Amino acid sequence: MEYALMVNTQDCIGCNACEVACKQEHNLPVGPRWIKVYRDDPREIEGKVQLRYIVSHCMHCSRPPCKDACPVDAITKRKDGVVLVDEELCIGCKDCIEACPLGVMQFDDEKNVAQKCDLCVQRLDEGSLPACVVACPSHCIYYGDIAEVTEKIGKQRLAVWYKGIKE
Amino acid sequence: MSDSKNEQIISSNCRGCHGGCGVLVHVKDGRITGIEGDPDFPTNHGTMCSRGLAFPQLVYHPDRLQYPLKRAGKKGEGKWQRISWDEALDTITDKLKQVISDYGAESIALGQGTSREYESFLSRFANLLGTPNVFGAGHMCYLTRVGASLVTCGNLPICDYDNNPKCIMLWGSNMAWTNPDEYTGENLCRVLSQGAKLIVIDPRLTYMAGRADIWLQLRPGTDAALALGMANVIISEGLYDKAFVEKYVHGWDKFVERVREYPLEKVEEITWVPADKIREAARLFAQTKPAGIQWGVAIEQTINSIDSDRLLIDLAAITGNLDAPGGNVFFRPPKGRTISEFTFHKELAPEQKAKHLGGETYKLIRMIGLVTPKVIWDAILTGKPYPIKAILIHGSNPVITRANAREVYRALSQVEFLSVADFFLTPTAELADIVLPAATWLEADYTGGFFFRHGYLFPRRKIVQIGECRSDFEIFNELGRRMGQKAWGASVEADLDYILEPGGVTWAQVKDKPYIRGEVKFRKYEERGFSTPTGKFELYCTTFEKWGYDPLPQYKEIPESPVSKPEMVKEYPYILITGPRTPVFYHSEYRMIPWLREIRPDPTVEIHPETAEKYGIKDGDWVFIESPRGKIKQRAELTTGIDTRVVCIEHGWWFPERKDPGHGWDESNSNILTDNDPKGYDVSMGATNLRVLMGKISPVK
Repeated sequence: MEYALMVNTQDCIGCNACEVACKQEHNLPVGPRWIKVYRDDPREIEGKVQLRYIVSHCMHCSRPPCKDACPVDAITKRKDGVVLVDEELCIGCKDCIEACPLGVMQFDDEKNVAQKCDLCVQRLDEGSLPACVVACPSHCIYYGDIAEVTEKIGKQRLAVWYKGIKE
Repeated sequence: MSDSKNEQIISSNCRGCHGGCGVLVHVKDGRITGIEGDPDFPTNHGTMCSRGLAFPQLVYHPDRLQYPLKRAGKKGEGKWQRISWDEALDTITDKLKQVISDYGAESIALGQGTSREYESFLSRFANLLGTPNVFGAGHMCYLTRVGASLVTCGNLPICDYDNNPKCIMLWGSNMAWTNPDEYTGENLCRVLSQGAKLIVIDPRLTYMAGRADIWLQLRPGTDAALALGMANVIISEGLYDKAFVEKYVHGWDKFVERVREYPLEKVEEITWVPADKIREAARLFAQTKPAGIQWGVAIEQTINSIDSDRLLIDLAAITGNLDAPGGNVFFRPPKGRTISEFTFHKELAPEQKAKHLGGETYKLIRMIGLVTPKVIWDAILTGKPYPIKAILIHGSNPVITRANAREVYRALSQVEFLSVADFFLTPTAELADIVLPAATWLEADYTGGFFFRHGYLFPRRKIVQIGECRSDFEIFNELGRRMGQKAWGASVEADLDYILEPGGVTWAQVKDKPYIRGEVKFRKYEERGFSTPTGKFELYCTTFEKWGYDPLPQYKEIPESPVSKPEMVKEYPYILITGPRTPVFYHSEYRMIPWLREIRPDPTVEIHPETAEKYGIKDGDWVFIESPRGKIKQRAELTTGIDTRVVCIEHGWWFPERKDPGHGWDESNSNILTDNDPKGYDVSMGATNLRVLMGKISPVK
């Protein structure tokens, strides 16, 4: 089984709570934003003009390009799907940032290491949900088995999600 | 956050804004390591907003005030000397005693702000001191709806999200991002995901406006006209609750007559909203049961403040949604003293009450025990009708948040004595003679939420002590006792016991409970009627009749608009609206919090791309915004979600990172542009028009 984190952008209110929950959980400085909310331009969706937000974060790809790009094998994929950066091994070359098709790989200038969403592995291992999932006031961040999450959000909405990212 | 086994988790209640979310505070070695939502809490169900989550960065901020200061240079020069609490409190009480003996207690004014819930303590201190002059935001904020509902139906009816409203009418509120008193955005999200219909009234496309079944994009400031138009549809199509109207309403015929003065063609012309859409919205609201109305301060910060509030409460009443499950409900708090009892509202001597500044003009605000701020600035600057010599401001930054900021700055620079209690040296605190370091909600015990209308008590617990910070509760308790006011307990705990006494419990007994709720009962009017002079719901307000105001709600044109001032259009072609909410700041607060400022580093002004193009303004450019009062700059955010004739400015901006004592208070502050001319005030409340003015834009070269 592989775990996934996905945002149902239809319900996202753009409140940034996920961002700050993530910062707090990982004690991040100003700079790296493992999850980030962007305002989309108003556009017509389902017959009416809507204001939507796009939430970017690591998708923990099945075959992570960042992992392939890393020259020192600092990026690994766990059996449960979680893709992790080992900060001890990272040499700060930023190849993974170049390689990530979603542009979600972050960089901590002070530590000189690449960083990204780790799906709150520490919390997962303790049996709790990722910090952003818990904090989200509109309950629009889904976490769980990839098949179930995909089912919940629906393929159509996923398509909208990816379209949003590419734009 | 959860990286330690020997961590302690303490539950409490957030007051980073007004929502009252249940929180679990993680503490390790006496230091707060994190805050998360309490999953078992009824108001937020484990969720949190960015402000609450970032609050530890405020608590431990390096710029936090940690001990009392006295001015060491000229006023506003930024030179300070550390003093003891005894010296600070003695200085204040000596000054207050001197002012009382030389001028009378009325020459002392008290200022309050963002409702860190010390207002009851502040009003109590003022009443026992003998001054009727308390100012804050209440004249154009929460207390307007309290006042409007007092004279209409006796109490403020709260949207009941717990009992499956099938329709929500979200009016002038971005509740997805803000948690106003009694509410959290999470509740709105929850009922919408359960399938409730949504009507949004907003001049801007917000997330909720886009999601709505019907979005009415009105001309800013015309809410009362729109509400009258909707009432017209509901009445002429017979969609009102006839049984309720027959039995419980006062003034139906006169109300109908007034409503008939607003046919939809006229309302369309006033509001810019097509008549068909108004009709559609009115029908959806009236025909979906139960339906709740959720409104925000946008409708209260104009000349139509109280009438807008009354009209929305009227709409809830005539559609049978008042005090009905899932409608707008009068919740009852757990047993305890009322705010009026606790504050000794009736102890203020009649001869002192008679000195209430502006009270003969603005009778509703006098009844509530507040003044409109301009009367204070005038009394300082002109000495009329009598001088204000000393001001104590708590948790408020009026230099940034009150209309006509330059006048506020002038007045506070000139007042003989100013003491300010806050978390940081704000532009307002920089003008003080004494600055007191205030404790946050994580640093004091309090009966949270008790005086609000959601019917809950949220015990809030002291978790940490920062420097020598003291809670505003403690400061007023200390000052009160030093002034010889007998009512105060030996400690704040005794004062909290006094609040709870009628319920037969003490603070020590409720302190560790997650929350307590009062009895929930609906349609209480069936037994007792309404707490108004007629005992009915007053569509025709007999109190207003007695006071000489129009007893029926009406729409007045905003004094500075393209309709009322067509001659201004050439020079100032745009309608400026101020005060859109952001999801990270709280009025003038939190610009110094790194995690929040990172998300919104600069003040932004929303402009339609077609409008921006005329001036060569691109997304992200700095833009000058100018009104007849002054000029500020903010960064352009281009969006088609706003009318080409409207420009929307953020409020609350100053720059705490700048170390000069002004902190850029007049650079991007929307209140440099607003006016506080009484011609723009609501007649009974003295509500200032903060929201709708005329202006122009130009690129910063």
